[in-house]
Amino acid sequence: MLTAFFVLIQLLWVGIPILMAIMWSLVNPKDAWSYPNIFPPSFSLEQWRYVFNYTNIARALRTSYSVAPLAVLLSFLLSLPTSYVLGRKNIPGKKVFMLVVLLPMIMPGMVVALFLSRVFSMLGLSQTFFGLVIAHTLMSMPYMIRVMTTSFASIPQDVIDAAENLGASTFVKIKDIFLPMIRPGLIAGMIFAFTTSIEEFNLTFIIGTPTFETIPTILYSFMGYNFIRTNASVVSLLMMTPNIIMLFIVERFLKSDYLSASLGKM
Amino acid sequence: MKKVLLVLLVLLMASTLAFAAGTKEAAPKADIDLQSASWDQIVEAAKAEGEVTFYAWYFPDYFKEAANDFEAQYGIKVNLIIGDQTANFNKAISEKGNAVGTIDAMIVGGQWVKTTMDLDLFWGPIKDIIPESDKLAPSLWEVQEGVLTKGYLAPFHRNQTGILYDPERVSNPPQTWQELEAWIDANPKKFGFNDPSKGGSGQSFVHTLIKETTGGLEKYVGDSDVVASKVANWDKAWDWAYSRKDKLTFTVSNNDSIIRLNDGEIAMTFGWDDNVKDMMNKGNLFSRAKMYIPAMGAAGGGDTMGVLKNSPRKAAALLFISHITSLEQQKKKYEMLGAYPARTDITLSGTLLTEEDRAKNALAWFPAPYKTLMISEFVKNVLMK
Amino acid sequence: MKKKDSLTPFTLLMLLPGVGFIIFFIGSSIVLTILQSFGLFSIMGNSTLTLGYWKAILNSREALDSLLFSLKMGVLSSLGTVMVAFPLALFFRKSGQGKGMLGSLIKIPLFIPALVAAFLILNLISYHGLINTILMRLSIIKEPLRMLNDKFGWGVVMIQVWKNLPFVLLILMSAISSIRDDTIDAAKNLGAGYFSILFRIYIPLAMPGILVAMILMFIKAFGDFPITSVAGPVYPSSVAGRMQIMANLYQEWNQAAVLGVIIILTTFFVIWAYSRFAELVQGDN
Repeated sequence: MLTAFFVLIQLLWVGIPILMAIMWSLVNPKDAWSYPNIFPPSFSLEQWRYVFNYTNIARALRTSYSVAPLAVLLSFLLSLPTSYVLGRKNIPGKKVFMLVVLLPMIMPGMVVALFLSRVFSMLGLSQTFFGLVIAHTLMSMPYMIRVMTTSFASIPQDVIDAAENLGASTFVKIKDIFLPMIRPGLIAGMIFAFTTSIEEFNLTFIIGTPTFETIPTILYSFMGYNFIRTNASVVSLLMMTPNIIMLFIVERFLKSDYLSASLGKM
Repeated sequence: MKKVLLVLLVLLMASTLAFAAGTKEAAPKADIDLQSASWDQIVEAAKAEGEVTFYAWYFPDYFKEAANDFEAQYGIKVNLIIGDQTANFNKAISEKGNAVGTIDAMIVGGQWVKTTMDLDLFWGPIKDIIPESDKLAPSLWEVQEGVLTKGYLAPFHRNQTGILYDPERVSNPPQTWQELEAWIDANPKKFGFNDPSKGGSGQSFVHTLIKETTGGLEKYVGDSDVVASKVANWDKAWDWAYSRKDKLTFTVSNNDSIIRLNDGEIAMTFGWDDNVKDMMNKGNLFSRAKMYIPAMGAAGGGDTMGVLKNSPRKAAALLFISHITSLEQQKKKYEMLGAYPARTDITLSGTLLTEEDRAKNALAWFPAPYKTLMISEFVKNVLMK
Repeated sequence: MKKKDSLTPFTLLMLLPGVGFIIFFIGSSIVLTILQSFGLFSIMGNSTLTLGYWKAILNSREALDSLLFSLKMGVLSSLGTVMVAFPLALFFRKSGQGKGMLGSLIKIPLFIPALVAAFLILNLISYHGLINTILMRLSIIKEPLRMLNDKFGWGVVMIQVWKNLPFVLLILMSAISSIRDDTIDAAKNLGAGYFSILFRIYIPLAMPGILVAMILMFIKAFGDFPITSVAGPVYPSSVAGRMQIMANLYQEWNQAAVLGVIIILTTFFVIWAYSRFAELVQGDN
C-alpha cells in the first residue's frame, strides 16, 4: 500500500535525525562519542541534568509557550481584514501592498532586530511581555496575510452571490461562508505563525532579555558560536517534544474537517 | 493611486519619527563618583543598587555558580544571561544610543574587542578601581586581540591556541614550520583549520603562517595602521596556502574543527585550549586528544569583562567583576573547567598546555588592522579562487 | 479584464491593521537601511552622502559571489520543495486510511527550528556520519564522501527541503483543496488523460497557492543565515552571512546596509519573475 510505504519513508526521514539527537543528548561526559563508535560508548543523563541546572529552561519554556498562542491570535485578527481586501478586491496598489507585507521576512533578522529594537524602545515596549507578543506577531504576519489572501481569493464568487441573493447578512456571510472556506489556509497560517514565534530569536534576544528568556535564546547559547552538540541536543529535544505532541493532538482534533474541507462538496 | 501613496508615506513618516525621536539624554550617574570613591563606598553603592545584569556566551555552569556565590555573599541579585556571542554584542550595540541600557557588564572577546572599543561602548578605565588588578595578567589589561584596551576591560581568563591532535594518528607532532609542511604534504586533507573570518583558531594558524613565510612578526609591533610596505610580501603566504588547497581541510568555526577531529575526518588542527577542554569535559571530544604550542609559536590572548557606558548599575557591575577576578573565583573556575585563569598568583597542575610552553612559545597578536587585513586577504587569495 | 475597485475609506480601514501595522514598525528600518547605504545616519564615523559604499559593494567579487550563491539556494530550494510537495499534496487530496498519521509525521520538521534541523542532518552527512558509514559498509564507496560544506551547496538545499517540505505541503494542500471534484470528473468524462488533467487543471488552478509557496520558500532560502553557516560551503557565504561579516568583522556598517538594500531589491525582482511565470501558466486557462 502506497500509504504504508510513505509512512515508512517518513519514519526514517524524520525519525533517524531525531534518534541521533536523542543519542547525543545521552552521551556520558566522561566517555566521549567519537569515531569509530556507531553508538555512544555509555549513556548518562548528565547532559540533561546540566541543562536543567545551569540554564533557565523551565522559565524559557513557559515564556515561549505563552507568547506563541497570543502572537498567533493577534496576527490572525490583524491579518483577517487585510487578507480579505487583498484577496477579493482589486484595489490600486494591490501589488505594492502584497510586496510590502513580506518585508519583515525579507530583511535579514539581525539587521531588522537592530533597528526595530530602537523603535520598540521608543514605544516603551522593550522588556515587556506585550512587546514580545507584538514582535512575534510582526514576524508572523507575512505568512498569515499571504496564505489567507490566497484562500480568500479562491472562494468562488457564485457562492457569495448565491448567499447574497438569499438575503444573507454580512455576519452570516462571514460565519457560514468565508471562515469555513478559508479554513485550510487559516490553519496553515496559524501553524506557520506559531512556529515562527517559537523560533524567533534575533529581535526577541535584543528586546526580551534579560527580563525574558525564550527557548531560542537558550538554544543559541549552545548552537550558535559556541556549538556544543550534547547540550544542543537536549535543548532541541526539549523544544521539539511539546511541539510534536501538540501537532498530533491538533491533527486528531481537526482530522475529519481538515482533509476534506471544501473538497468540492458544494 | 495618489491616495495610496499618501497613506503609505504618512505611515512611513510616523514610524521613522518614532525611531528618530530617540534623543540622547545624559547617561545615568551613580550617586558617587566611581573613579575617585573608595572600594568600600563602591560596595555600599552596589548593595543599594540591588541587582546586576551580566552577559556571557559560554560556561553556563561556572557563571551560574559564581552568580549564586555573589548573591550569597553580597545579597545582590544577579541576572545572568548566557546568550550567543554575536547576539550579545548586537544587543549592546543596538542599545548604544539609549540613555539607560539593560546590560551592566559583559564578557568581551574575539573580533568584538575592536568593534566595541571603536564604538566606545564601555565605561572606564576600571584598572585602578578593581582591587588586586595587578594580579591579573598585565598584558591583557593593555592589549587584547591586537587592540589597545587601555585598562577598560578586566581580564577574565587567558586562552591560548595551539596544535590539537589525535595521538593515535600522529606519531611525531610537528614543532617547526617545515615539519608541519612535511606532515601536511604526507597526509593530505588530514590537517584542518577554520576560515579565519569565522573563528580565532583559524586566525592563529594564518597568523603563524605569515610569521613563518614572510619574515617574522616584530616589524608590525606598535603600528596603529597598516603600513603597505610591510605587507608587500604577504603573497608568499597566500601562495603557500593556495598551492596546498587540495591538501588542507577548511572548517567553518572553532568548534567545527574540534568536531571534525572527534569525527575522524582530520587528525590535527589548531584550537583554543579553553574550548578544547570544555568540549572534552562534556563528552564531545575523546579524552586522548593532546594539545601543545609548537616551537614556531601560536597566538594567545584571553577574554575580558567590561562595564557598559549606559549601565544604570555601574557600582554593582564593578563589584561583580571584582568577584569574578577574585582569587577564590578564579581558582574555582579553573577547578570546574580547566580553563586558564587570568590571575597570575595561582599554581596550577593538569592544564592542557604546560607553563613552559606558554612562556616560551606563546605569541602576541600583531596589531588589529593587520589582523583584519590578514583575514580579508586570506579569503580573497585562498578561499575565493 | 478584472474590474478595478476603488480605494474607499472603508477599504483603507481594513488594510490598516495588517499593512499599516507592518509599515509602522518596519518602515523606519527600511528607510534607515537605504539612507545608511548612501552614507547617512552612519553608526560609526562621519555621515556624508556618498555613492562610495555602493561602488565598493558593486565592485566586490565576494559580494557578487555571495549574492549568486544565495540566489542559487533560493531558486533550487523553492523549486525542489514544490516539486516534491506537489505530488504529495495530490496524494493527500483524498482521505484514506493512515493518511492522518502520515500527515502528522510529515509535518514534524515544521516544528523543528532551522538551526536544529541543520545540526540533525549534519549528523547524517558528516564525514563519518550515518550515510557514509552505511555506504562504506555496503562497499559502495571506499572513501567517505565529503557532503558537508560542499562547494555547490547541496547540503544546504537538502536541509532546506527536509525542513520546509511540510511548510510547502500545507500551502499546496490548501490550494488544491479548493479545486472542485466536479471539475475533475467533467474532464475525465471528456476523456482527458492523467497528464492532461495534471497540466491543464490541477497546476493552473492551484497556481496561486504554488506561487505563494514558491515566493515564501524563496525568501526563506535566499535570506537564510543559520543553515548556510552550519552546512554551507566555506566560501562563499550566504548574502545574509556576508552582511554580518561586513558589519561585525570589518565594521563596514554602510556597506552592510548596501547589501541589505540589494537583498530587498533582488527578492522583489524574483517575486516579480515568479509572478509573471504564474500568470503565464494560468493565462491559457
